[in-house]
Amino acid sequence: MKSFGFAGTAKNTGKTTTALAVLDHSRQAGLRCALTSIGYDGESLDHVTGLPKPRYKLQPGELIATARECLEASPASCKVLAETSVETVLGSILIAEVVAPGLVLLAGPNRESDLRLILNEFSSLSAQLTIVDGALNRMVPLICTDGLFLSTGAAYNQDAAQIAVHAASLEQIFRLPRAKGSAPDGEIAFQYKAGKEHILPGGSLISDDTLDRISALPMETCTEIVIPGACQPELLAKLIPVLPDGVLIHLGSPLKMIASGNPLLWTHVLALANGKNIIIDVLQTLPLLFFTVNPFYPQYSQKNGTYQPAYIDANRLLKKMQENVHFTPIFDIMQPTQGTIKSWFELNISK
Amino acid sequence: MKKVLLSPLDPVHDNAVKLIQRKLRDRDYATILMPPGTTVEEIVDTAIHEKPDAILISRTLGYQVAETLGRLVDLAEAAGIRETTRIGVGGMAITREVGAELGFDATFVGELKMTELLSFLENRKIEFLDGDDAAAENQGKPDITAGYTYQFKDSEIASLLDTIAEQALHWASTRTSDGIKRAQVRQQMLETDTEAEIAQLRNDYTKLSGTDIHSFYTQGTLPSGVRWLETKEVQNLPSLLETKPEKHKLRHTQAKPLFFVQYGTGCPVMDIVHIKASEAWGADGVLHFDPSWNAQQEGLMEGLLSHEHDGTILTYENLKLIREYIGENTLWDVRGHRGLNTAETQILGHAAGAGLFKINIPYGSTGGGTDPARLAVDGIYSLHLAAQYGIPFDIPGNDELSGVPPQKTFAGILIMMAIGLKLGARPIPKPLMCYSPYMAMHGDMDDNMIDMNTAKLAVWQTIVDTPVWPGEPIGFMTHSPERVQSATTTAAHAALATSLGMDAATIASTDEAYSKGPISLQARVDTLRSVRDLLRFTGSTHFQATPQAQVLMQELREGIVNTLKKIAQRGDFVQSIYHGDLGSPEDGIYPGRVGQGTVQNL
Repeated sequence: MKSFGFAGTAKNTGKTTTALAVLDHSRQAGLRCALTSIGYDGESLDHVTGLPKPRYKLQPGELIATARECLEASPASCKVLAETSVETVLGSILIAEVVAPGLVLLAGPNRESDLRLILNEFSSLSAQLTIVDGALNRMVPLICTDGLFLSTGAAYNQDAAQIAVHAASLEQIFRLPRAKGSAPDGEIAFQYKAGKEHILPGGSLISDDTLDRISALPMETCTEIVIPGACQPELLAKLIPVLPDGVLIHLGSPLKMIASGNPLLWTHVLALANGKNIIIDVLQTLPLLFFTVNPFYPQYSQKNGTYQPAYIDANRLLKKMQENVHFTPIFDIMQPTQGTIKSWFELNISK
Repeated sequence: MKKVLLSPLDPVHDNAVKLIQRKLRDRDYATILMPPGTTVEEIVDTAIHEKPDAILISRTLGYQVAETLGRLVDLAEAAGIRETTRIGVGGMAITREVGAELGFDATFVGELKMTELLSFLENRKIEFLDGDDAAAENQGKPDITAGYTYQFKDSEIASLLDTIAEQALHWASTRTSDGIKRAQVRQQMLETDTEAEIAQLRNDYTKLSGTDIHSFYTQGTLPSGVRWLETKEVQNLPSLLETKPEKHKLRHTQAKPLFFVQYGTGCPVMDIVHIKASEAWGADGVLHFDPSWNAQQEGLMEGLLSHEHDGTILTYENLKLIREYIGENTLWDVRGHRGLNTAETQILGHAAGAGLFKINIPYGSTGGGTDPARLAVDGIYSLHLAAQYGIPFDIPGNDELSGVPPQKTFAGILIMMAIGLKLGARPIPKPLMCYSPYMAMHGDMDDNMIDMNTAKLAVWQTIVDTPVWPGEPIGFMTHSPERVQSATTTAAHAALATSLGMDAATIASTDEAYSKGPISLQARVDTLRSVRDLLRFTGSTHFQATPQAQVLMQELREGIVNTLKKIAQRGDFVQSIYHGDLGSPEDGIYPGRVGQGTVQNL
């Protein structure tokens, strides 16, 4: 079974629309699909903007993992196959099979360990492709999927150039190499030339206190540093100047890096590291499969206190993205002439 | 000892987390409170090093705040603390759906509910209470009369009442009416299963009925403004009530009074919606009001009927439908204190599951418009039924609204209590908290409305050990068509009743006196909301009446004694009503005429 995560750089960038497109192609390829979310999806109107949202309409035989209350509120007729031990604020997660077509509401596992459990359940039920819809500003649990589709657009920033630069930073993070060997579990670790090791409890570098404790350590003979948890790029940027040239820094994963700070800052950090021949890699990788771009954004009207649909120039957005993102396919789902998810899907998944 | 990390994740406001910290400390939790302005990174870093069992975040949601909360959860996941530390969020704009989207382990919606919070911290399954803790916790159905002995403390009054009640019971024992006969037929109909027998009994019932009801049974005609409830209207009810409302409590620190609201929109379906809304806003009980003409005709109809004017028609089917939707712990009172169907109303109310009856012969046979002799016969029969069923009956003193002085009204209530007690029933007096014509004319409320109301409520405990339920509704004649004004005076009276330790109180909607049509739901919520806030304001404090209240109470007691003496001397309770001993034309009240000459000797 293949599982894919769908994330967005901001709310309303089109991750569900992208997921729906992939779902459609999966059906056409005859794959048995399963669906879950690490957030809450399937509502008709956006909770914040009040604008309409795309919804998941599933077909008989397709599987879902969703909270009990969501399943009860889903118009689709479903047969419950199993109740899992995963709890959410909307009840325990049920695995169900759609028996009559209809819309579904999704609230699935919200942490990595729970998502793994759900993916295993789907796999045991012969699902061939699982879609994991992301959540607002949350990606880290998606590390246990086989690849990520990332949506960006005007809802993130109304300047096409800035969207593209941001996307390029993201691409750079996802292209970091995988670290060789295994790392100490959960703690910040320092490896020295003589084979000596120093462990700093905590696993994350997100405070000046931790940075001070690291800075107090002898760094001259340090050869490797492992920061498996969260790592703020601003703090790493302060650390790099005191590190010896050529040191290896192993970070957690691209998703943990993004959760820890602005991708643009990571570009700056990677440049700093490069200047000192410092290699930064990640303990876990996740393929970034493609970007989708969306010129739509919700524009707030102060006059009447509501959000209205608004758009930036779609062609310019796509062009800027193509100028900045060099290794990852880019699609505008609403402009199929510019390249289609379908052809990508046929090339990469169906085969 | 469990450790909890609390943070407002807000630049300024941290009252909620401070309050939670205090409550958790009282329960021996170790707490770490982070100041306003704390960043997401600081929260997660503190959690990494302090290893709390839970993080509780308080924040009012805005467009960007959702992103911040999502980032907090993602950073916590990246830092690896989510497997050991659970994260909850609360705030006025947080919903459970938003909580699910943001990946929190728990959401605390609306006002602080410690029961939910503690369940989360103790890793128990959270029962989302959707409202105030106490309101949502199952406290069982209250009994207003519990703990009261009904022992008379005023021997002079007790003696007079004994004489009057004995005479009234003796008088009634040799009399009956078509109303009582219909009640007996209806009882048989309810106990019979076979259609043929029911048809025969219905035939008997019809013969005992007045013209309109006779036409209903023989020709199927409905009175003006009445229609059959459509099947789909009833079938749609479950979906109409599908959304579980938040539940609130009216009382703050106070144990009582129980608060009742009156319904009777005319439509049982609309009544049910009103009842559910009232329950959600903390009402402890509801009173069924029927149309005035329902009381003035011999006989009651059958079936699910809707009425386009005020008052919901009394039928077994209507009552049963309403009962089906009334909350398990909500008290239900069916009004039958006036009119020609008083006895049958108790039969139907009992069969449908009512927990309280409302019976007052002196009021019903003056202000209610029914002939005193007829209502005395039917009313005393009804008290027998109340005793037989073990259902308490309350005695509204609303004849005061016609100008009757409170001492006369109270004497009438006391007589009803004495008769009921002799029969083994449990009475509940309902002195009216109002700005009555008598008060306006005599100036007893010129300075304030506290002294007189205090005297009227406090006098009861000097006479008899009884529950007291000011009615009906409290603040009558202090209300205006303006909703804020109306809610304010109701709340003020509710606070006074609470301060005086009353057992129950009936409150009106803000449009009840002036609606000129069906009562609106928002007007109903107005008063419940205002009472709630005023009780929150007053807490366990008390009103301080002036010394004048004591003077007024003494005058009331003397007036009651004088009234009872007059009735005892006359030696005929019913004739006393005719002769105005309990309210005269000079006071502004006349003996009723509906059902005149219908009392039959046994």
